[in-house]
Amino acid sequence: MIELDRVRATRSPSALRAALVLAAKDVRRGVRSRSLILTAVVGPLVLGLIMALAFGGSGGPKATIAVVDLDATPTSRGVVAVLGEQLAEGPVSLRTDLTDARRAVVDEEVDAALVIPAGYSASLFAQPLPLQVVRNNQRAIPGEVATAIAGEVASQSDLIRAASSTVVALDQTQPPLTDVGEIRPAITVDIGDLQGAFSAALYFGPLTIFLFLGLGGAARNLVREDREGTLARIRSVAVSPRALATGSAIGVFVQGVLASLAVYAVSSLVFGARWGSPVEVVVVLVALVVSLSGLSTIITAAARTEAQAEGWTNAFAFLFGVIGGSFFGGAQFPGLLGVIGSYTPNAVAMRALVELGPGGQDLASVLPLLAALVVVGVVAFAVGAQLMVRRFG
Amino acid sequence: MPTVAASCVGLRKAYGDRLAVADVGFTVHAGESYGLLGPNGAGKTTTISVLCGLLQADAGTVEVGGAPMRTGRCDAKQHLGLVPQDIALYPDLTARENLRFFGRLQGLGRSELRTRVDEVLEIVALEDRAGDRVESFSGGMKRRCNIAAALLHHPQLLVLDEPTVGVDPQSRASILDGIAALQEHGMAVLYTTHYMEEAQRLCDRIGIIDEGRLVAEGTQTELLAAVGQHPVVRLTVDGDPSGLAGALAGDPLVVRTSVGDDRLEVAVTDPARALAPLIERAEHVGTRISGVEVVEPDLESVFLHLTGKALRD
Repeated sequence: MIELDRVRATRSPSALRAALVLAAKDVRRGVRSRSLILTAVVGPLVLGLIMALAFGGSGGPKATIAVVDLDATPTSRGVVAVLGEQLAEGPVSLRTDLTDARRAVVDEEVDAALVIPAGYSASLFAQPLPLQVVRNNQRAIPGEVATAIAGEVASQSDLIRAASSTVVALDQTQPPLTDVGEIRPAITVDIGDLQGAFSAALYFGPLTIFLFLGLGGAARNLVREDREGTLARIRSVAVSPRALATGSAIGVFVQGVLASLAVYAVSSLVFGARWGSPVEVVVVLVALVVSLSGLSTIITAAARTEAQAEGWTNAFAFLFGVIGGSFFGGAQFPGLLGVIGSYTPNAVAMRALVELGPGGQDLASVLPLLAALVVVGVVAFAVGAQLMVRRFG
Repeated sequence: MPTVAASCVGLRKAYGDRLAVADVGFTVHAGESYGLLGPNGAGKTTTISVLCGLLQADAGTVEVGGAPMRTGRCDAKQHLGLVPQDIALYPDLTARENLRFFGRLQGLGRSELRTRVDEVLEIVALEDRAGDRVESFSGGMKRRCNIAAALLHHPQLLVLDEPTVGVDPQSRASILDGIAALQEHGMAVLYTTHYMEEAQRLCDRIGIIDEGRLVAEGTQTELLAAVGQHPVVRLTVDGDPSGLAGALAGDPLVVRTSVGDDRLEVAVTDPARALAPLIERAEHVGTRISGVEVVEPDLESVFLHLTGKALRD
């Protein structure tokens, strides 16, 4: 039955509604074709698992930490001895000279150095001095492991002070403390646990690579739709180029968040990776995906062929992945490449995750990093939307 | 409702050095069916693309539903429904999912969308296959679903770009019947085709386009008259037809004659009135007629006359 008498004045959907409809369609098709599940969930998990197995379970890469004892008292020697025994999982080299330790860190003979400051023992009975960390910015994870160890030692200052007091109390002759070889406090520093806490990098790296590779999915879809005629139909209805750009970005965002959450959940629950506080991790992952969704809009608007979409996507993925350290558990290049790499979205997100890790800081302290990710996403989206207007406007 | 569904004035579009459309202008009135007839590569799809806001013209203006068409703006686009030449549907979605998607983009609300999807599925006779993926459809079913997606929002103007290309005769007939039914219900239709018989059957007025230019426009009768096309009585004779040709000279019903070996073609103003006198005249001059055929002029001959080439060249 044909009914045309009810001709109505159609109302254009809002740009946001049109964008949501477009995004929902992309997600539905991605899920239905299983491409989303394969490329965004299974891929990162399998690659992460392979890397985890290569590094020995989920323990992650081992940090080599030097300890510098500038205090040179029985108490500090005892702390060094305890660390030496308990850091057995990662080789510990003892350095007596701070300059030597710094050189070793710079030359990457060791990944980081823990420094027991002069006056440490005496400070235990008043305001304990913190252990200091010498770190190489291009080796973020070992630096954070050393910081976490320093935090663990500081948190056990009471035990160290108690051990020192006991020795002094038992020996009524009160010999000079320097005559006592070492005073071993009953502290525990589980280096394996601390290193395992940062093993999330093994899954985060592959996740970012696959998220980058997913950037081109929207571009490939648009090219395909252009070729198959559905784009012409979409453009012939009341859908603006900006709505097209927004829909594409939202689709990438939703797929990216789903993939990130899946990798986070499975790597944590099944493989025992410890990423940190769930809320903080989710906030970082969402900020990263916002950033990448914005970048995807540029590729989507600029790529005119599937080959272009593929090429630019791969270039993004491998360039950002390599210089941003996603391939090497957070390790970055030295020199200018390292500096540039440290500003890639994946490196910034990695830094935020590491800083939020065990013994690390709270969410407020990484807000600048998160804001940077979101700003990159918003600016990139604005550029992409403008390119879309120039292409279709 | 405006009396003009769509109008184009002075459209010009070039791709590099190649001029695809040059100074094309036409008007589709409300409820009218307008055909753009021309061979492949004549500029039909480019014209349609500009009219639908998919391409920006280098020059000229387009209005649809009284609103100026601009590629990035939506005002005019909501008045038209485009049926692209390709099957512009998602093969991995069902017919209903496709229609719901395009209906949502058209701004239809939830309940209206449900109703309209059911209605257009009924119009194109796909109710029984609504839940099947489009990739499982035959070519004709895909074409029908392709049309359905353009009808969801009750457009004032339905634009069909060669909707029967590659379709089997049965589906083609079904599609043409459906379009004719839409016309009967007052929907304006802009129809591009290189099939002369489709234009003749469906279109109230026809624009003939070739090499990017609109070379003629009017009703079929107007076009035939404008180029001086007349019905032809084709007589097969025993012997020399020259005598009969000479005898017909000066007959007011005869426009011209053309003599062949055993054939005489007589262009006449009215074959019904001219046939009996022709036969009488043949008997009078002793020419025996062994065969008579009346050939009505068609758009093919108009196109041939206007462009010097056949429509399907």
